[in-house]
Amino acid sequence: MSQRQVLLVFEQYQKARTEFVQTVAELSTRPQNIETLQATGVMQLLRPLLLDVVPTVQQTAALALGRLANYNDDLAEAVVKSDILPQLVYSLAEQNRFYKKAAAFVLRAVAKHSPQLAQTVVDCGALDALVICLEEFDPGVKEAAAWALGYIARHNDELAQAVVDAGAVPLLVLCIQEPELSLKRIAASALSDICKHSPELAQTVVDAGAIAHLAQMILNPDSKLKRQVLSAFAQISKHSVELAELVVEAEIFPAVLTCLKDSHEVVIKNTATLIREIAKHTPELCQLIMNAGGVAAVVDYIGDTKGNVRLPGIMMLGYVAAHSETLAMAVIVSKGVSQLAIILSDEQEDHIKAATVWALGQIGRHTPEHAKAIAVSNVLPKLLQSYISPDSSEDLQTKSKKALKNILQKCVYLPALEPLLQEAPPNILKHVVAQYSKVLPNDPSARRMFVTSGGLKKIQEIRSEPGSALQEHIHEINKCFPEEIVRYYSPGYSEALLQRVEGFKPSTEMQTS
Amino acid sequence: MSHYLSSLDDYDIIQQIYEFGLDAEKRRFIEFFMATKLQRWWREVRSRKRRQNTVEAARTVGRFLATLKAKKAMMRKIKSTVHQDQRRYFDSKIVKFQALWRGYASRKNVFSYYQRKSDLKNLEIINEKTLRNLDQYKILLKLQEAETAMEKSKIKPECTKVQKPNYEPVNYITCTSTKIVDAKNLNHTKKRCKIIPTCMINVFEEKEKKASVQLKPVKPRGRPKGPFRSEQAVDAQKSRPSSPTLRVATPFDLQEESKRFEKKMKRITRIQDPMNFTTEKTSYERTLWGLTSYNPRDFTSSSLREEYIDEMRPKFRSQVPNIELFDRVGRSYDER
Repeated sequence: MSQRQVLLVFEQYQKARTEFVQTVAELSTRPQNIETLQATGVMQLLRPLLLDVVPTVQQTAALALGRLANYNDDLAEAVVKSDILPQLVYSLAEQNRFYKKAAAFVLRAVAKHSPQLAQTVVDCGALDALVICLEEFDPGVKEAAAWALGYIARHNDELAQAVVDAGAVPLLVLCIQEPELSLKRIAASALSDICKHSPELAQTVVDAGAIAHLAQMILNPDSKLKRQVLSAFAQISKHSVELAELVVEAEIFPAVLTCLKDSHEVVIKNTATLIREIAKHTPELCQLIMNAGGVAAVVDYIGDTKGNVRLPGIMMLGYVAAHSETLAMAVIVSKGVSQLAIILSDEQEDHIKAATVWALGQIGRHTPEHAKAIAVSNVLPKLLQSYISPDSSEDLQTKSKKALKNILQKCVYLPALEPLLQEAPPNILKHVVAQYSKVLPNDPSARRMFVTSGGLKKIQEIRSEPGSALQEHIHEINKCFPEEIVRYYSPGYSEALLQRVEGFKPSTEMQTS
Repeated sequence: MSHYLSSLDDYDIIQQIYEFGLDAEKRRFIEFFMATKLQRWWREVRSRKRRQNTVEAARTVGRFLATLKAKKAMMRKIKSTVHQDQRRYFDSKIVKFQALWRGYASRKNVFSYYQRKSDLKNLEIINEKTLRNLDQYKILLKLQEAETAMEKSKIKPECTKVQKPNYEPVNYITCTSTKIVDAKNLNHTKKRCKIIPTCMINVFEEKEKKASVQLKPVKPRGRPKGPFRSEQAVDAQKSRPSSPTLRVATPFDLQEESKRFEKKMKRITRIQDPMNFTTEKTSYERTLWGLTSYNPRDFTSSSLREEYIDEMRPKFRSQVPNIELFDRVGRSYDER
């Protein structure tokens, strides 16, 4: 055989291997093929191809493995059990950039499914290799490495701490400063995944100087980048007051409010989440947000959006109002109550309604002025309806009850209390009657209105246990009116009158005349 | 009297004189008594009159004083009544002023009502401004999106379906030349073709067609003249894994900070353990940035400065804190 013929055989073998691995990679992009591939034992076939002499075969085999592992956790476990990971980790340090990208993709695909698989990846020593890849010149390699690190850190604080201990944070901060958009996105996402677990991890990220670089990217036109940056800020600021103040000192306000008008819902939601996490700590931070026009912007955004997107905004209003009566008044002045009332009537989801109810309770619990603002918006009957409706979840009922109680204890606006007299259950009714007993002794016009509107009649119909607080309040109210009127409106008075008529005997003088 | 002198004896005369004397005494007594009585009476009358005069005068004075007192009291009463009415009148007005002032002061100082009111007014202005700015921003975003959509629609390719990129590069397998094909060099051929997704090929063709300026045909350049490295060497360099660069984020004042830290630690050890410090002999260790050494020189060395002699150059003590990454990748600062 000539040399050429011998070479031809090897060329054909190489071509077959390449074609096989490329086809497998192509097939693994479609979910319907995965099970078939798994059944045919594709892992065992791909494993030796990772050590192929041809770099392209190695890379494509790694790519195919990554796609398979990405599909579900069973395949990822199969990758782990096939002892592929140590080979990949070793190759991360030795091979070229194409292979590094593919290997990092496989590690990411394995680590993303569960903390146990991520721990397996860490135990193989992948963290050090991935951190070294973060110093690569090629942005694609950096991106793949950052992505894998982010997926590892996402699961729990131990894994995130392992990533931090590997020295990834300063390099991720450097990656954020790179010009490539995709790299910035992935690095920001990785930092966000690290920060979310504990204040110590968030502090590590802050100490690496991430805040200043992230703050510059808030006004970037790319929505995907913005959402990761805002998510990172939210995860940093949620842990403590100091971290929230550090975020605010980066002068993100009022620029971050423009993100509430973004076309992507996730960006809007993450912005609202960030504002909520900052506002929940101290009244001073709430004041800062208020002075930047944040409250009005949030009220506007919850009016424009629907569903879960508006939930962080609703909670933010509740947190702001909870701090002090001044801030609660600021929410009222910014037309927050009317917007929350609309949401309460429009929304179908119980958890959003529960948040709305809670926010309204925080606004109205401070002074009679606040309670009046709530009552004037015709919110009290809706709160009552949420409480007594059998379709409401337990959480919604609990929150409605608390909010009603808090508002009613301060409400002296009687026209808003009248509908509650007719429909409220006893545990709510006692608060309503208590407020009437406070107002009626001092207000003659209110007493007149109370009688003409049928309130007095309703009061007499209420059954109360002797010695209870409800009965005392009823007694206090009855003392405000003449006895005849109280008797007139007492139940059964007409029958008693008719009985008297029946029992009445006319006098004899009249009979003789 | 003669009656008595004629008919009597001497005893009788003496008796008669004695009796006359007694009568005269009696009469004198009676006269004295009467005189005193009369004097008494007269004194009494005089004193009574005097007394009456004084009583009348006192009464007159008293009447006058009482009248004066009463008048004064009446005036006082009148004045007080008038004052009371006036005071009531003014009180009613002043109480209102005081109530207004107390209300204002408590609202201002205790409840900060006016501050809050002005803050809420300012807040309304800020809110309006913010909402206006956000609306303008939204309009601007929509305009930008419309512009980008218009630009994209202009360069719309004919193929509407996006085809997946073809991973198989052209001329993948090297030409069957007489050369021995090295497996490592399979990817790096002379005729390297770009992997272009087929859907974009039409785009490039269209762009070329639409170019209004007719460019002069480019003369093919001949092969540049050497000398060149061998292809194998070039390929080996291309496929060699890049060594990690030492781009670690350190602050620009790390040197000063580490120097200060070192001084601080020395101070602390000196304070905490002075005996050891005085007795401990520390030899001078050259730090990172000091290039000149003053150790004894070998007289056979050609240069006066030891730093030019690599072998004799001592290792320096790094004043900058260790970076773990260096240990992992086997690098250190003292590598040149």
